[in-house]
Formats: sequence, structure tokens, C-alpha cells
Amino acid sequence: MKNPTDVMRGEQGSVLVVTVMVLALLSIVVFSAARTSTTEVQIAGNDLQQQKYFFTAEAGIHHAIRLLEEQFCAANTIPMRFGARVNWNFAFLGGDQKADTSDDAVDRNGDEMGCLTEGAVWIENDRIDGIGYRVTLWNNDDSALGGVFDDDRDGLVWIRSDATGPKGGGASIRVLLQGESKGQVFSDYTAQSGGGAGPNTVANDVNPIVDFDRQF
Amino acid sequence: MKRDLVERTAAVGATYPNGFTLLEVLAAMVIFSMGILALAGLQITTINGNARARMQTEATAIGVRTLERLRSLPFDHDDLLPTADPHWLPASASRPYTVGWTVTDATPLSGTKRVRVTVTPANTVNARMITISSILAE
Repeated sequence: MKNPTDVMRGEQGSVLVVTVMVLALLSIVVFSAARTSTTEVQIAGNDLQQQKYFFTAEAGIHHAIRLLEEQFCAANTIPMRFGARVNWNFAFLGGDQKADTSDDAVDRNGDEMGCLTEGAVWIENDRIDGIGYRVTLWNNDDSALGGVFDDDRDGLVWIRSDATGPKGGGASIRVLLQGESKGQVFSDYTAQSGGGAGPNTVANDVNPIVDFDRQF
Repeated sequence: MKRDLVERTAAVGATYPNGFTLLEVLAAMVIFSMGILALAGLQITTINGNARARMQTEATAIGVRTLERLRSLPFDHDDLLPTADPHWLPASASRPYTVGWTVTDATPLSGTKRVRVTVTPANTVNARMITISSILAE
């Protein structure tokens, strides 16, 4: 028969060993849960940030549309007055900005950034809640109608809004913008009160005629 | 010394020689409880983090939905009128988040409005307000 002390000697400290092993297992479980939780927090943060970028890019599009709307009407007053073809040529900002002929597929200056650096810059460094946005404009492919990159023939242009924030995050939206004339005489004034829309372009007489004596 | 203790314990009268010494069990319990306390603390942090992530994800979804809705409204809709106080949707049982939005007229230029949506969890523990902004054109 074995001496009891021999048996005891073989199992000395076994409680400690078991304890440490259980703790180690628990640690693995808890640390992996903590890691999952950290990832979860990061996902939630990234999701929010992405939505902010997206809505900032969309804000850029709306900002640019409103900005261009007024200038489009101002630049096309004469064609619109006669119902002629309207164009976006004013928006290419002359020859300084090399607007692309068609798409961002053609990289003129070889910077591999496509239209991003080659379109005419309309909005730069505007910010919403710390996120900057930049809007560029360039002509679509008008070669079928004989147009080139700075000669718009079909009234269509691309605008692109890029929202960028810290840590390289961002969002981009590209929109095809159409400006057209309905082929009607564009007139929203009356030459003289009560006189209806007229072909004259200068409305000096804004008051109604009340004294008819001078006509006789 | 340990061996003496073991032998003495065994000798004092344990009928079953293979058992644990009181000292060994005490030491193990101290170590175990210290470990468990640390892990429990970490687990609490984890649970809080999960709750915060869930709240932020839900708040983001609500904010996006609100902003998309505002975007789809006519430009002069009542919900898009610039007011001194923010527009307000109180929290409810089905949506435990307070939704507010401010409209700033003619920003950044006339004919546009800047809309800033804020979503605040009704649960104030770990709650973080989120903000999403955009610009609407006429």
C-alpha cells in the first residue's frame, strides 16, 4: 500500500494549477469579448463618419447647383430670351482649368486623378461641421455634336462633389447636370404694369397709366 | 515547510489522505478572486462599449432617416422653416431617442438652407449625441 504522503506529494498545488487554468480560459473569453466590443464601437463610429461625409458631399452638390443656377441664367440671358440653345461654356472658367472632354477616363495631365483635378473648381474648402467639400465641373462628351472640352453643345455637364475629412475619409458624388431652354421666349416681366409680357427688354415704365390726358 | 504542514494535516486525523490543505485553497481563492474581479471590470467596460456602439448605430440610422426625409420635403415645408428653437421630436417607447434639427436660412447662399440633425439617446448613461448636417437647395 502506498504511503499517503506520497500520494499527497504528487498533487501538491493542484488547486492553484486548476485555478490558474480556469482564469486563463476566462481571460480568453473576456478579452475576445472586449476586442469584439472595441471593433463594434469602431464600426459604429465609422458608420456615423461615413454618413457625415456622404451628406456633406450631397450638400456640396446642392450648394453648387444653386450657385450655378443663378450664373447659368445670367450667362444665358440672351439665348434664353430668343429661345436659342443654351450652354455651360461660362462654367468652364476659361482655359486655365483643363476640363476633361468626357469622363474621368481621360487623364490629360497624367496625375491619375481623372476629373478631380482637371475640372473647373467651383467650390473649394467650404466646410460643414469640420468636413470640407470641393465641387468641380467639367463637360460631358460632346464630340458627337462637334463640341470639345470647353465648348458645350448639349447643355449637359458633370459636377462632382468630394467631401474629405481627417484620416483620409471621404465621399464623392457625381451628377450630370442639364441646362435647357424650352424654346420659348423667356420673359418674366411686364413692360408696364398691366401691359402683359412684351418683347422689349427694358422695363422703365413700372407704374400703371392713370393719366390719359397727355395722349390726346 | 509545506511538506511538514501536509504531513501534519494528514497525520492529525484525516481519514481520506488525498484532500486540499486549507492554506492552498485560501491562496487559490485569493488569486482566483483577484483575477475574477479584474475580468469582471473588463467585462463591464465591454458591456458599456457594446451599449454605446448600439446606441450610436441606432442614432445614426435615425439621423440619416430624418435628414433624408427633410431632403425630400418641399423647400418651404413647415419642417424646413428656420425657427429660433430647433424642430423637435420627443423620444417615445418605440424610439428612445430625441430627434432635433435646426434650419439656417440662406446658408451658404440665398436659396439654400443648412440643416443640422441631432439625435440624443433618451438613456442618459453612456449617451452620446450625434450630429449630421447637410445643405438643401431650392
